[in-house]
Amino acid sequence: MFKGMKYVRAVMIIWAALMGMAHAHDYEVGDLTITHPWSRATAPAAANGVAYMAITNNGSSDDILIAAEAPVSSRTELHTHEMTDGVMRMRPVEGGITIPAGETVYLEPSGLHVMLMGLDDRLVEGELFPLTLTFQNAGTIEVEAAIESPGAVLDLHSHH
Amino acid sequence: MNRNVVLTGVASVTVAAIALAAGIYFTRAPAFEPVGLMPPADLGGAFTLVDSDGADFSSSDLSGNGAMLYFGFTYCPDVCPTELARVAGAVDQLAEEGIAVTPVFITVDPERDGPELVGDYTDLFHPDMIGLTGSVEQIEQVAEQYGVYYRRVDDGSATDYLIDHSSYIYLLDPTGRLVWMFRPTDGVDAMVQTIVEAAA
Repeated sequence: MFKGMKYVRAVMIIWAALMGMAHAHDYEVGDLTITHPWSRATAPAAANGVAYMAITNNGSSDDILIAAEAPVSSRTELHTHEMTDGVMRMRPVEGGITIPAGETVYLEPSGLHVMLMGLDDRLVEGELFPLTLTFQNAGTIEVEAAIESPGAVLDLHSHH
Repeated sequence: MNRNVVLTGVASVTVAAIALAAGIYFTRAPAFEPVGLMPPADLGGAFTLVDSDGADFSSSDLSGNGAMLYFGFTYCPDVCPTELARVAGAVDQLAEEGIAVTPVFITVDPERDGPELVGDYTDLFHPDMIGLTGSVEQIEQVAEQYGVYYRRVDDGSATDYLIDHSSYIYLLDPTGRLVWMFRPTDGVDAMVQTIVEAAA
């Protein structure tokens, strides 16, 4: 019986690895779940990088992501993105990113994102870097962002 | 057994069989919808810019192959990488169909994006991607030719700025003529299929 369970678990782990989800990782802080923070590899002298993730608010009151900090860059901003008449506009989000009670907010390509400005070094695919997120209610948590390929577009919607 | 019941049974089986056949037919042969836009007739044209080695690069150097042009800037970490990865994916799929298309990135930020930065950036996305920069005047001219809108958004510091820019992928035919434009919402498979159908 227990041997059987072990076998099942081993198969599950191999399955997860095969599915490329070996890096999938979740964090909990207060009522929030932060799913798979990730980033993109950059060119050697690139100035800017980006970080994405999904944030689920399991609580009954709204929270706000007010800041993100990463030692890999001199400065970070929370950005949003609008496209009108084919023109892309990136802008800082005033007052932070609201995570409504009971909902999931996706930071994802061509949408909300953490902009890493003034990278010290290139971001290398397969590596991780720490990212500190500060929420108005849930407080502060350090997560690890997994660096994917330069033009990666991960879909975290299927995790929920 | 009542004859009506039998007939009704036969009729239902027939209807079900027809529905099933129709279902298989339509799922196997979905109607093909081309994606993208026909560019206004006055857009496009020849250009001379500077490549990642600092040498002059003329659009006639692309001739013989089609090209997919994308205008962006290397300080752009979100939309430009997404679009350049789409261009790279489309170019690879088109190569499998026997259609040679050169991926080209043109910066709208020539003041920061020198040849080396542009070359390092395009190397991230595709080994054949050509990265182009130029003088401020050269970039203004090519952007005007292709109807590319770009505007620097200053946040106070001289070097730390973002650029609003239009985000189309421009398709040139092997003679260098602008023939089609794709939008960020057009899927890679659909772009490829559109080009394959047009080339057929």
